Formats: sequence, structure tokens, C-alpha cells
Amino acid sequence: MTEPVLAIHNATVSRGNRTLISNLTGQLKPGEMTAVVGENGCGKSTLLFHLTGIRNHDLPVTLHNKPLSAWSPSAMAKQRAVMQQHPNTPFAYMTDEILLLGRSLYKEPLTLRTAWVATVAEWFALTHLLGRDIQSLSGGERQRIFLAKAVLQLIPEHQPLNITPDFHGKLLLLDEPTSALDLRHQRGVMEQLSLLAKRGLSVLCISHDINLVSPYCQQMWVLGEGICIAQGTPQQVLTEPVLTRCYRTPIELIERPGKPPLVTH
Amino acid sequence: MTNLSASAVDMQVNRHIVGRDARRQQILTVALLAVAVSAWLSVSLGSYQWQWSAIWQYLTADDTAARNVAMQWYVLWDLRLPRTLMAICVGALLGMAGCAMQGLVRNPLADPGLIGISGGTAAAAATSMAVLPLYWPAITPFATVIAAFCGALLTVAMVLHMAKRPHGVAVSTLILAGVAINALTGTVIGAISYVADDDALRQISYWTMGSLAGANWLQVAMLSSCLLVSACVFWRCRAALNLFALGEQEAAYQGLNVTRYKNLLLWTVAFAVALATALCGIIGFIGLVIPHICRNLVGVDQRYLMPASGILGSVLLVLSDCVSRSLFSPLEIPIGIITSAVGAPFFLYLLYQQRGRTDD
Repeated sequence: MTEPVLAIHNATVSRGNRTLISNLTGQLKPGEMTAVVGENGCGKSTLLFHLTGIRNHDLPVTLHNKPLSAWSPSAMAKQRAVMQQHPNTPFAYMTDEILLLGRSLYKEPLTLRTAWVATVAEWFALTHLLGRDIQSLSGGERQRIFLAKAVLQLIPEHQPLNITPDFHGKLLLLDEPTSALDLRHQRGVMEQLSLLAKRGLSVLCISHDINLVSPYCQQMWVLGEGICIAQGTPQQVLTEPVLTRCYRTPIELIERPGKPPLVTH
Repeated sequence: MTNLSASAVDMQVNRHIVGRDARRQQILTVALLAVAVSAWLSVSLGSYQWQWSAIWQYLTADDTAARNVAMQWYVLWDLRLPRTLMAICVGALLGMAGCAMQGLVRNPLADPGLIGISGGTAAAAATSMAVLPLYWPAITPFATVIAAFCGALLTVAMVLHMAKRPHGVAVSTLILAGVAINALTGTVIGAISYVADDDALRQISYWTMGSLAGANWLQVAMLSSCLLVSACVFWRCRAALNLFALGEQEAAYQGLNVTRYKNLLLWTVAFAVALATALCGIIGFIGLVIPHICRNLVGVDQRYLMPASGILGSVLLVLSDCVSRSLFSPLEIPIGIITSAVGAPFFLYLLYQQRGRTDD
């Protein structure tokens, strides 16, 4: 059995003095994509924020068997990258400058950096946007730029260009990465993420678009009522009782052969 | 798109980035030349003319030089040169402090003067100028600098504490707090002017308008060492400032020790502004105008923006000083009035440009 990248042992997530999720236990394994779903305000983003480890919360969460609080900021940043819900900057950075910032942890020659920037930009269909002012981009284009920046942060130092990077042990935390994307780019981003997952990357992805993420993820966590209502494969989790309990609205499931059911209402 | 092993190096991207960097370096080089030209202008401008031949004669003559020659040496060495160097140092300090402040709070309107640092510094320094000589006449020049520094730090701490929000700094509060602090320090300076004796009063009024007239080599030494230290710190923080531009949380996600860099930058800004203000009085708006111009010239990347802000800050202040000396020569207009006359309308223009922006 493979070692988990991130492990949560019976954690209670709270914001201020309000408890949002009690007794959450879960593991993110290498190469696994996990989707976190649940109604608005149920604590998805707060959970993700706690898992980033930038504040000392003393949560029972370990990254590579080491408590989050024991990691130094820079060592942790080489293992996990985060994409926030509405990333933005008030200054007119160029898109390639933003992407280069993703490599700011590493000491590498500029040629290697720019080559990786160009490569990852290609992965997320961003090549035509390089050299543009970030403020002139649409919300969806900006979202993909910041997603590419997060992925760049996880490519190992001095990674040769002709060798595909190994993402085993690396963790990508995403807060609604496809919320502003059109249908083509939703699919493109999910395909690319699952390709990276095949190279060992662990992905935790918050989403409201269950039908988009369910074919790609191996695990789903359904949050609601202050607990984790269900955990398991999409096929196990996407059932009417679970979803009705989570969203408190009638849910209809349309079965599909070989794929998780379509969720609609 | 789905090709994970896209191994072809995109040379076009590399060329684009390298070419842009080269262009920005060229602009920095031209700006450095502008410092030299404006410094030359500042040294040669004035009612008294000096000649190279006379200076050479003064330096090489073994016996006591003619009175005329000694006078020319005095004008160059004791008046013009320290004044020009002081303008260079103060301009660079204020330009870089403004650039750092704007990057730190993520808003192009944050200027050390606008958010009250200059005011706080001035109030503390005025108090020390009026009150300390009564008890402790010997150490006032240094006490003023120390008091100014404490005033600057106190204001920074106060303003930032008030504007602090869970997700960073609220800029509207920051600027409003600056307004309140400027009003408060105006009151303090007014009250102190009212009770101060003539000597202190002259010093204080000369100070609130800013002037480089009292320049001497000791001040140049203090300012240039401060410039050296803060330039090193700002340069070291260039990557951190780029990350801060994406937000404090984003910077933390990328492995930056946010608290450490924030404190380091704030202390350095306070130190730079305090020393500049303590020695030259309030010279406003450099920290607002210069980074804005520089962003249009070299872009927003701090690797180029920070040096450009320092260099162009020097140019602007040296030129302002030339204007202040020559506009109504031999009468001298305080330099703070010149920079405010340029900067305040510029600030209005920036606000005008920002209308329609909803995010704060």
C-alpha cells in the first residue's frame, strides 16, 4: 500500500469559534484526484485553507508523515501548491512574469525557467496569452494562468526539459479551478490534471460541478451537516440519499454505463 | 494540449523574455545617465559661477590660493556638491520607499507621505526641536533624527494596525488613517510652533516645507550610508515584493516567510523616510509619483521597478532642487513646495484614473 501524501486524522475544522466540520479523516495518495463537494458555506474553502498549512492551527494533519506545523514555509512550498478562488493582482504584471513567479523558490538558469514556463503554458493552452497584461485577461484566462503557476511550483528544481517531471509526493490544492471556464477549457483542464495525476500528482479539488469532476477523480468527499457525509469513489458516493442530505433539495441521478451517474435536479 | 512531455523548448518565449529584460536594462542605463546629467546641471547652476581651471589651481597650488579661487572651491565643495549628493540620496530613498510601500500594501496610491509617515516623523521631530533644547542643549541634531525615527515607526505601526484585515491591508482605511494622522500631526506642529521660541520656530517652519539648503558632508554621509543599507534590503526583497503583489496568502503559499519580510520592509521604509525627513523636512509625493512613472517605463516587475524608482527619484529631486534655486533666484523656494505642486495634481489624476475600479 502506498504511503499517503497528506493524511487527516480525525480533524475538526472551525472558522472563528464556529465549528464547520467535525471528525474528518481522510488520505490523499499519490496519483489520486479527490473532489470535495458540498453546499455553500459548508467549510470547503476553510478546510482547504487549513490543509495549506500557512497558519499554525495544530490540526492533526500530516504531509509526508510530518505534521504541517513542523514544515518550513519553503520546504512545504516545494511539496504542495495552492490555487485560490479569485487570484488577482492590482499591478499590470505580464502573464509570463506571473508564471515565472511560480519558479521563484528555485535557483535555476533563466533559459530553463522560461522553457518550463512555455511548456506548462502549452499544457493549459495558454501559449497565445504569454506576454499579455494579466489585467487585460478574462476571468477564465486568468484562472488558467494561476493554475499553471501552481503547477510550475511543483516541478522539481533543475528538471531537464526532455524528461517528464515526476510528481509523486507532490500535492495540488485547488479551490474551484474551473468555475470561470468554458466547456472546452473545463474539459482541457481536467484532462491535463488527470495526466499529471498519472505522473504521481495528488490533487484535491473543490468544485460545484459534480458532473465535470466525477469521471476524473478516484475519491469524493461530500461535506454537509457539519460532518463529512460520505467518502469513497464517485460511484459509491453519488447516490440519491447522500446528495439529497448534502444539498437539501431533490436530486435526480441519470445512470451511465462505465461512468459515474449524471447528477441533476 | 494533452501532450505531457512537450519537450520542445519554446525559444520564442525565451527570446521574448530576454529581449524585454534587455530593453528594461537599457532604460535603467539611460536613467543612470540622467542622474549624471542632472547632477552636473545642479552643480553648475547658481548665481555664483565657478571654473574647472580655478578648482584645478586650488587643488594643485602649494601656497595659499587666491581669494577668488578659494571662494570657487568653497562654493563647489561646501555648498553645491553636498547639496546635490543629498538630493540624490533623498530622492532615491523616497522613491524606493514609495515603491516598497505600494508593493507591500498592493496599491499604487500608498505613499509614505499620504499614509502619514512623513507627518508623524515631522511631529516627533518638531517636538524634539522645540522641547529637547530646554533640557539637553548638547545633543539636539542627533536627538531630532532619533525622535523622527521613533515618530515614523509609531505612525507605521498605528496606521497598519488600524488598516489590518484578515486578508491583508484595507487600503481605503490606510489612506483615511493617513488623513487623520496628517491632521493630528498638523495640530501638534501648530501647537508646538505656538509655544516655541523664535529659533525653533524658524527651524520648524523651514522643515515642514522641506529644504536641502542646510546640506553638509555629515548629513551626506548619514544619508548615503542609509541609502546603501536600504537599497541592499529593498534589492534583497525584490522577489518577496513580487510575491506580495499577488496577495499575502498567495505569497505564503509560495513559501515566503510573510511576517519576516513584511516587518523587514516596513522597518526599512520607516528608517529611510525618517532619516530623509529628519534631515530635509517633509518632501512629499516623490514616493507616489516616481513608482507610477517607472511602472510605465520598465513594467511592474520589482527587479526593474525598484532600481528605476531609486534612480528616477534622484533625478526628480535633483531637478526639483534646481527649479527651487533658480526660479526666483537668488530667492529660494522650499523644495517640498515644488514636489507638492507637481505631486498633488498628479495624485488627483491617479484618483481620477482609478474611478470605476471596484476592488479595493
